[in-house]
Amino acid sequence: MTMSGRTYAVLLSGALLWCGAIVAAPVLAHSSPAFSSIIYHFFQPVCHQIDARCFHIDGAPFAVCFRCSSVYFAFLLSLLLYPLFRSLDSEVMPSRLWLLAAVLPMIVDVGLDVATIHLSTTVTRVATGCAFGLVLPWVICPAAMTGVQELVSSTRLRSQKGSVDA
Amino acid sequence: MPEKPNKLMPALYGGLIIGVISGVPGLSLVNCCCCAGVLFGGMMAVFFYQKDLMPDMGPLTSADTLQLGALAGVFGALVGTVFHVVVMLAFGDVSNAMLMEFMSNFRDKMPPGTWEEMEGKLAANTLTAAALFIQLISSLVLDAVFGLLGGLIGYAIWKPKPQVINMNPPPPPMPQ
Repeated sequence: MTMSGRTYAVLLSGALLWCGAIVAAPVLAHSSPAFSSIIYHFFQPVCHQIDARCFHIDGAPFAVCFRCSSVYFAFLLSLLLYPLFRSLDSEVMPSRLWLLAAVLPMIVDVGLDVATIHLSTTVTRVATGCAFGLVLPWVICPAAMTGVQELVSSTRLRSQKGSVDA
Repeated sequence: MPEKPNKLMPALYGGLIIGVISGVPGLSLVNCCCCAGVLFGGMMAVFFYQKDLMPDMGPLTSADTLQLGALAGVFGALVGTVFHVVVMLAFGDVSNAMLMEFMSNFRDKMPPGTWEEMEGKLAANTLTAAALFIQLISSLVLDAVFGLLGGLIGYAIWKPKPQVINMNPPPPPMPQ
């Protein structure tokens, strides 16, 4: 497997584990409450976990809210689709405007909600979260794959130079 | 070609930003938006690094931003934990009090019993060595990952523009 393939596999495994844990928390809430509690505690620093703003399974909330869940699951979906549309070795990144277009609706939605000008709804939270999550892999994947490739190459060069000097 | 600048100081600046946002009560609510504060710190580490880069040092690479983001996350976790301890010792559980005040806006939208459950959970949060150790480990993992992602987003924003190669044909030789 190429270095890009390995980097993609690590990214995908991480995303699957992360999203899996979000869903595992409510699924295990009745059968294994101690383990479920650990998962809820783990996600506490990254989300407010307000019950009324979370998806539910069997009466128990996801480990993160509507918006966060939408970001993470959209990220996972986009990551799964990435190799179908772009080579893993491609260094092409979308324009910064795409990143701005993806994050701006979420900033506006949160900002207006906090300022109590416009109250966010489930639809706006999910939609803005999905928009951000769908674009992120197209920005992160090329940068991550070239970055890891460069790090590995420079590490190998340094170790070869070290053995030659010795 | 002169060597690229040291990554330690820009990563430290980014880590300070992460630590302050994570540790200061009220401000830490920013991290409820998918660790926006940590992502921001990772991005700022890249911003400070690319400001130190001279044109003859070579361009900003994604490898640089991976290292900067991850380092900023680690520093941020350490600084944030120190801030949290100092605030808890000096002012008590201000962070949870502010969180409860924020959550009280949504109390009527919560299912019955949820508010009381939250009050109980937050009251049980005490500053013990074990809780602090668990928080530090959890912060190191989360902040390093999200700091790294922030670094990659920073690369997307501040990556060098591709150089335009002049494709015009050379002028014809002057007649003798």
